[in-house]
Amino acid sequence: MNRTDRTHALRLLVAWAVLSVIGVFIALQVHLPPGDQSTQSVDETSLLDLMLVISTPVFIGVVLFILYSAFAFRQTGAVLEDGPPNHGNFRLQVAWVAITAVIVLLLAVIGISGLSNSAAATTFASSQATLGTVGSAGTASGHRLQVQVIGQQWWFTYRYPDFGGVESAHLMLPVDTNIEFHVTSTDVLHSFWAYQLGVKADANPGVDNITYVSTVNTGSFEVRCAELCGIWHGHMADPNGQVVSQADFATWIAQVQKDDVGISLPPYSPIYFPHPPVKGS
Amino acid sequence: MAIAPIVDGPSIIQSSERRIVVPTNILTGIVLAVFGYWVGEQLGNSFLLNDAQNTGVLLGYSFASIMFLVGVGFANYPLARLFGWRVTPQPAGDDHTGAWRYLNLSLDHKVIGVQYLVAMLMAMLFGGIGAMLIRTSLLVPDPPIVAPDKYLTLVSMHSVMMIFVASAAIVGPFGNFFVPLMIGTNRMAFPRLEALSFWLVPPAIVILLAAPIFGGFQTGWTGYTPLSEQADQGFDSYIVGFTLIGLALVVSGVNMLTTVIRLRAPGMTWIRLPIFVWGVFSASILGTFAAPILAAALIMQGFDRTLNTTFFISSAGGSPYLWENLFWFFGHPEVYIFILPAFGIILELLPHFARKPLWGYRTAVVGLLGVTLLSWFVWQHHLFMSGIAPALRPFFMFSTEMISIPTGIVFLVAFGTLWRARISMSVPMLFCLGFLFNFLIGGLSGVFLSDVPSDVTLHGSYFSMAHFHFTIVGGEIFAIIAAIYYWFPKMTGRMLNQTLGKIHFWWMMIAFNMAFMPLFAAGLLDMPRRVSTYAVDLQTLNDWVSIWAFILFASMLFFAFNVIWSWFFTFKVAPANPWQVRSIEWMLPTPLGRRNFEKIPVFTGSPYDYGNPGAKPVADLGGPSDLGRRGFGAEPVPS
Amino acid sequence: MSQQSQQSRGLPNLVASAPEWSTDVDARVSSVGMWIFMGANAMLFVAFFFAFFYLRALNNADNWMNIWTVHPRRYIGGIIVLLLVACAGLVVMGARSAAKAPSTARMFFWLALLAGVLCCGFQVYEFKHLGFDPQMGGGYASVFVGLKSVLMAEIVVAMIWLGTHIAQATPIGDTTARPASAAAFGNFLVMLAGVGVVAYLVLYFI
Ligand SMILES: [Cu+2]
Ligand SMILES: [Cu+2]
Repeated sequence: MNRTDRTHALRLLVAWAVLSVIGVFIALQVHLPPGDQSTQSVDETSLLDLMLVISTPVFIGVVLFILYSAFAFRQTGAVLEDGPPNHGNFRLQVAWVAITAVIVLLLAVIGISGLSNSAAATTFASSQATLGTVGSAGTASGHRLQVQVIGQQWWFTYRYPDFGGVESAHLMLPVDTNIEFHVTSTDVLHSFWAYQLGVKADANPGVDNITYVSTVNTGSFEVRCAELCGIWHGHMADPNGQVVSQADFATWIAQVQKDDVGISLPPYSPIYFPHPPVKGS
Repeated sequence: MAIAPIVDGPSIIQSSERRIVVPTNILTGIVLAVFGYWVGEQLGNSFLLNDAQNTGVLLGYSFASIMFLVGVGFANYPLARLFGWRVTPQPAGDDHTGAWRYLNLSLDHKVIGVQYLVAMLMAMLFGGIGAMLIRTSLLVPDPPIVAPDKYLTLVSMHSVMMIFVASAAIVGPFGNFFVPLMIGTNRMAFPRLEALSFWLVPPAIVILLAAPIFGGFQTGWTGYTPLSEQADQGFDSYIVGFTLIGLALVVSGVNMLTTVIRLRAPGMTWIRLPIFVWGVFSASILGTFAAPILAAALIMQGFDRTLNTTFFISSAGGSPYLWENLFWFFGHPEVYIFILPAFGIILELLPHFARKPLWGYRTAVVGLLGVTLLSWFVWQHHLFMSGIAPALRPFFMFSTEMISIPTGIVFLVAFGTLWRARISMSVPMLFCLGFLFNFLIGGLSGVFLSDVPSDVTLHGSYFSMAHFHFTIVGGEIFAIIAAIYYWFPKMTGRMLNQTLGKIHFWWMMIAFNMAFMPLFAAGLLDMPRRVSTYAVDLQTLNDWVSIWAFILFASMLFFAFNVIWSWFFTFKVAPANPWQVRSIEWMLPTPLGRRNFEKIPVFTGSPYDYGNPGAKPVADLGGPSDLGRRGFGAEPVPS
Repeated sequence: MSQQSQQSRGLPNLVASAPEWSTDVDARVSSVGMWIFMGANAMLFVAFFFAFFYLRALNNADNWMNIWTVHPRRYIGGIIVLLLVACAGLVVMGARSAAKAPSTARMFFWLALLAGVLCCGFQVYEFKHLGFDPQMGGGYASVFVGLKSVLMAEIVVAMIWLGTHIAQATPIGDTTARPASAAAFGNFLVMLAGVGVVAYLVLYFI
């Protein structure tokens, strides 16, 4: 490294450090969705925020480098000159690979631990007495509130096997509860996306796709379909999902059980197959 | 009986083409294609299958494609051989002149390169028009300007068309034109396969454009079942068009790999191979071995639609997961088929315009090959939410993030090359720098998508859509345009107007970022992909995006104007080496002769050896004349 | 025997011969090119074998092999695959003698063609008497029909290709002059035979 190298590097480094501090400071103010309605959405928000914070200095560094070289290293003379014949620096390459590898490992570890957290939400919250006893159509793991999400062209319906498999067109969930979604479909692929809850799971015909959520805050959330499912895919949205207090939920589910009319589906079953197979209609 | 030694070979035989009574050219091809469609449709419908007449359409398209190729002249050589005629593999029908030569079957890799370039620009125009209609429809949230089924057909056709473009628009035009020049050969290993890889593209485009005749298809480019099983015969366009492109990838890959492996001139060792050739080589590996998976999956879709098999019908023993797995097992390598040759272009151009050697050449090669290898092990990152093998998600998350390492190497090599360079800021260089910026955003947003917990929110939203547009448009298309500005003088003999080029760069760069950056926000604000309607409070954002998208499209029209103007209305032949760079293609005269090299060159130096006053020239063009007879492999340099 | 007799058919040569079209280049590229192509072709069948094992493992709706479906008769499948192997072997033997003894090569090729055509014939017979319906037969039936049709389509194309080698296996023919391409073609058929054997074991015994 000669002196010119050092001058350029120092300038870049200082500018990068200053801008990164500012950038990271700004990035820390940003809070990305999906919010804090469930522990999962809290996890996702913090992961997205963290990624924003990590990628800010990377972004600033690269952009700074591009701009700096575009201005500092350009030639404008009439005759083309050559730069220094520099063929590479092995130690720098090793260092670079090591740094990217460390960042990658870090992200992977965070991601994997986040993954196991969301899947390991096994303990049942305070609401056992209210919820667990009413019905028992659910599976053996009766410790979580079971909700079956059934995608169909072009809406979702929700069945509550713990309450005799009653069905609702809107998703209503009690707060402070561990919930186990069983997502399936009666026709094509859909994807159940409860935005503020931080849940997304594909609905496949013939498949019981399980995902978990633990509600922590009341409020409304939006359910959308996130997998192309035909012409009204864009309209497959319901802004009226609700996380409510456990008492409200008990009232509501009792009401639903009372006037359950069986909306559109065959009897409760963990999975549905489309029938008959349709071809080129 | 002794076969004459190689003196003149047994190839002194008149051309097979002369024996065919009907002249084979593009017009014959079109006529035969129409006839072929009719025959195929009649035949398909005569089976009276319970198939909603998909057999007729599928066979119609297939026969049309085959008959088109026959009409263009692909059957002449095999048929003549079948009749026992004495034929030479040497191209003989290549004696057309002028523009007609470019409209017909030619086995000259330079003609094929130009044919590809024009076809790809046209396809890009069709895809771009689709994008404009999509953005027009999204000007208002609801009710949509375009009815939902038409809207989804537009989305699907835009995406499939652009996938066609993205898979072939570097290897096709620039790979075919410049790889033989760069490795010092006069021919490709399999010129007929090379030509075939081009002539499969026009039928694919036409068949795709025909989809609206049969109701279009509303499945997106992923063609997920069972939605695709519901689709009209419009979906048959997807099946046949995509199969043709898959076939083109395979034959192009076989030809390209064999050429690079076996036909390098003396002195062109593996570690002297220009980095662009490495990019094309690694993309060809992926294309050759990934596209057959797609072809097989599409054949299964075809069987499901015609013979009523049940590959993808879960109630009858099939599974939609089968399609998802096969599609993405092809689909993820596919995205590196897009970007690897783009890396090749960028790393090829940077040293020439930075006037410095490529920094860390061997590391760059390792990076490209690392991406090639890793891209086989990541496909399920498209399926994190699908419910397929949730237990494997940590593995695919990790392998996906691993790809950042070789990609990071590419950036490091670019930076090392730029460091203390003497950058000549011409138009290709501007686009290279634009590439680095855009691909940075594309790459960083990709990391957001690769972690499962964050992917829960981002998957299937506009965020992922913005991500891959940053990598494909901001990345690959920028690289393609850099390559066009850079190589146009050698390909066409005309220099593109540089002032217009600079305006084009800033216009496109700003419009692209203005149009696509807000889409990250749209995704975070829960706007899913492929929706014809959206939340009312997102209208301002969407209108902003639409307007900038129109401006972006206008910049491409401006570029098209520059191309057409410079190509056909400036009558000055470009200098042989307008950029004053070292690479061998610029040592050859402009325009190039029909044969690239009168004598097989002997490579003696690196194309990137700038700043070294004692650097040897890249190649000795007056090499020993008899090397051609020996099949010009990479024998050691005669010193 | 070469340069003089070449005017025997058709017009005189109109194209100057260039060294890059010499048979040496052919010998250089055809083997490597064929290996790469075989790799690509193998991936096509890998997809079908994947479908076999994947659908079998999923056994959706208990419909992998339902009550209407039984394995087709093994001896017919065996005859088909034996004929295919014989065809490939004959082509390989023919290709070995292509350069030195064109007439021997031609004889081998004719026998190979016979085996190949018979193979296709038995395959058609098997399709006609499957004993199950691809629509009702479940996952197994789909994979069986798909895999076997694709294999058969490739065999048919290969037989046409073989026809060109028969036609050109004359003292002045192309196959004689360019034995490398005949050898590469032999490799291709060996690969198809290999796929046939694996498919036989998988489809009839698992
Ligand atoms: Cu849906
Ligand atoms: Cu991917």
